[in-house]
Amino acid sequence: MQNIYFPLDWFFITLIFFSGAYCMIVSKNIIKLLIGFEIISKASIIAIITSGYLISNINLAQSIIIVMILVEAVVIATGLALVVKSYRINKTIDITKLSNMKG
Amino acid sequence: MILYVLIYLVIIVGVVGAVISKKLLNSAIMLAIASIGISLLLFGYSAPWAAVFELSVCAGLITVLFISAVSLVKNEEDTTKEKQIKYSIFPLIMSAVVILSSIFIPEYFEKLSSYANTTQNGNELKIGDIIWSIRGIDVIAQIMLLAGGVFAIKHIFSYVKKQEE
Amino acid sequence: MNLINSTPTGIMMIPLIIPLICAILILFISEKTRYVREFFSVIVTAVSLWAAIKLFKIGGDNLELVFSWFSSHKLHFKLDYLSMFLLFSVSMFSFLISIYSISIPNKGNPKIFYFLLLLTQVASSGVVLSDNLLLMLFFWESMVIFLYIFIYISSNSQQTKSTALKTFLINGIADISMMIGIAMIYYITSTLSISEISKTKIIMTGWGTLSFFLILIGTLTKAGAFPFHTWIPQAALYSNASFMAYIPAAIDKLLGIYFLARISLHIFQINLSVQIILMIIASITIIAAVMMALIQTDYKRLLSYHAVSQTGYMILGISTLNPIGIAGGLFHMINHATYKSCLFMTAGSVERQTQINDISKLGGLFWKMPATAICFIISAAAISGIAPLNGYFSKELVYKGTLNTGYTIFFYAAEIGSVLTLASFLKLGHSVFFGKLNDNLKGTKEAPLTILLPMIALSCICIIFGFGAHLPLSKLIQPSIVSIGYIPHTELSGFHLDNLFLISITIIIFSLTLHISGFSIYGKPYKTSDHIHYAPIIKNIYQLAEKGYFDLYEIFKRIFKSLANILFKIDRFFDIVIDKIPSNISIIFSSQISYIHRGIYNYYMLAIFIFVVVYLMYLGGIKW
Repeated sequence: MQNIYFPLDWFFITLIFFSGAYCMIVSKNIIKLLIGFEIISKASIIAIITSGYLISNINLAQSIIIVMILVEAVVIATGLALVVKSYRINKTIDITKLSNMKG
Repeated sequence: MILYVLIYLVIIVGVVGAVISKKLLNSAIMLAIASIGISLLLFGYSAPWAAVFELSVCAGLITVLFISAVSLVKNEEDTTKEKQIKYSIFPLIMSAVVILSSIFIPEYFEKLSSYANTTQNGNELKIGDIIWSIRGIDVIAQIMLLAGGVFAIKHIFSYVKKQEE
Repeated sequence: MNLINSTPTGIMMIPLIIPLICAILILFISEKTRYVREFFSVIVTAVSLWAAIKLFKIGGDNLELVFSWFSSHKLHFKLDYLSMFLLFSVSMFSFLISIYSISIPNKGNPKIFYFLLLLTQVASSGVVLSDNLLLMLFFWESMVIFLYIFIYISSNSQQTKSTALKTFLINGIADISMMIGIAMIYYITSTLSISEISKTKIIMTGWGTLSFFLILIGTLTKAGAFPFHTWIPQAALYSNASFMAYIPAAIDKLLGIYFLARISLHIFQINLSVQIILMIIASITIIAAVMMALIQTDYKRLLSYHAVSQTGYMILGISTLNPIGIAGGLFHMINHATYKSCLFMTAGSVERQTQINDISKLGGLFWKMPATAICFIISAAAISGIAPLNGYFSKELVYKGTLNTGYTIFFYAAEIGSVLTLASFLKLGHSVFFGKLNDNLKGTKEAPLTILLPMIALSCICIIFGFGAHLPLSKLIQPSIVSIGYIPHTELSGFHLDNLFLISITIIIFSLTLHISGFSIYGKPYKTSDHIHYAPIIKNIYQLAEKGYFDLYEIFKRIFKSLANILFKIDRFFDIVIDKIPSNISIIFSSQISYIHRGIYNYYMLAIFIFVVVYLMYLGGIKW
């Protein structure tokens, strides 16, 4: 399955990136935020693999993707742990209510 | 080519569904569908290792994490009331972005792709060599990151017993 | 450390190393033993005295010992005749004082006292032996802290502590100026070794003159000359007799005049104007100090003013720059150490037996304490310059040297100093040892043997150096001068029946006249100098001096108060410029900016994404 049209991929990557960015900007729920973060990571994975295909060095792109996936998983896990703990303390997961350090 | 466009459509449906949906459970499942789509895409680019990794971690592990976290914050109906209008106008804005980027993006990336210089023997390097010898520091970084994550989560949840009393 | 020469010169290290080790060991002897520390230090000082005498017998000029330190700097210890002579005197005085202070009651904690005594001996031997200016400076400056502790431990009163502070400040600041002077010497000649510099002496150009005067300040403070002497009389009031007999009488003078001889004769080449300045300083010292000494009523304070005055003779002798005067200056140095130590020792013994310091309450102690009285008489006669004792010979040499330069006004100043010296000692002896015995003094006994022995030894040295004056002159002084480079062309010693002898007889007659006239006016022996004290113009000068107008330390104390006020106001001004104005400006700016930051998460995220997109498009070069 060769003959991949490079700008088509990047068109879709732009759309996915925009969706994730919109979700991060608009939401007040912390877990929705993390979902938006996840979506952006997906977009960047596709970006790397298409660039790897362009240079015709896919194996390097694969090893970078493996590192990225692991980083993403660890970040999400720690973030969700913090959200759950914060829910136990503050009884809310609204991001505008976390204001006890505001100056 | 058609196949690729179909896979991309699957991914976009999944992502848009994840953004719009009201319940958190539904958006986690939509995210899983998007991850499966990406994994198929990676198979199509003949990158099998990355595809399997993506499938097992993103479509499996992260979905399980999200669902367990959602179940731990169960009574979120009465805490966060978001304005649903913000999510309803999302397809409108999305279509605007589609139209605009179809004007600007293709020529931009065509110019960009003409800058690429292809390496000569890139396809002859094996992935084992790259992971373990050329980018060997990445392995150490991954191990340290995992250790850090594990310790952080252990210490976040270390006073569970006291709090439940 | 590798010793370059073989064992005969290793003896040179004994006066340095053995007292140092024993000083540290003394700190570990427990407090419960009574006299172990004293005997230990007596033995140690005797050992170093033996080493100094043995070095004499080895003789020879220019023994040298080199240590290499950190493999690039070398420590030079060098022994020419002047250093050998001084090493012998320093060791002898340490030995005698450590015997003397066994029985003195108020010297403070004996552990710390003997520790300091041995360390001062190490430091002064180091000054005398070292060839490198930096090494000598190290030993010189380490004596300041020992001086401070000596005075501090004498008693617990507040005045003792402020005297200790005054001593430390005066000596410390003088040492700093000496350090700057030595740094300038290094800048001029780029070597720090004394024997190297003395081959071609430094001449008095701009930098040379400045460095000479800076080092001169340090040396004169140590010896105790006019503007810097004010710590000595105050220390005499508030500290103990064995400290006074050791440091301001003997060690300080020896080291100060030694280094003055080195810088004016060996290192620098002095021209005429500097010589006249030195002689003027010397004459002012002689007259001012002896006029203050005339009116005192405290035993030790009177003696300490005389110590300051005799320094003037030594400086006068050295600044004449001909060999007779220099010989006179050096001989006077050792003589003065001898009889001044003996006089302070008699003061200490009288204080111990009667616990009284004020001479108006003492009287008639001659038959109760005969040995002390005889030592006092011999030393007082020596200090005044009465004929066959050692003071006469050294003063005669100084007078001859002064007359040889051609400026006779300094000769007259020295003669007036002699008159007043003898008058004040007549007053002192009369009030303490002769006259009527007071009733409350009837029970006093003679001092114990450990106090009497050093006094008797020093008095015998006075007599020996007097009658057999050629002995020290030919063996000690003459080789020292030759090794510096001035060769005398006449015979130095010997009893010359010439005009100077007749002038000394008239000095004795003058002072007797002053004393008897005062006694017949007032009737009491301690008031015999009051007719000078209350003479019309001199009375006002005395009043000013008592208030401290001539004391540099008191003048600086007054200046510093107003200086501190001015500096405080300048500091307030800089506070406003540096602190208040920038912080006010930044508060105005930041209160504007804080309107933009609202603390809501979503705005921040939006801003970040917009920036990322715009930046990427700019990088790629997209056209709008």
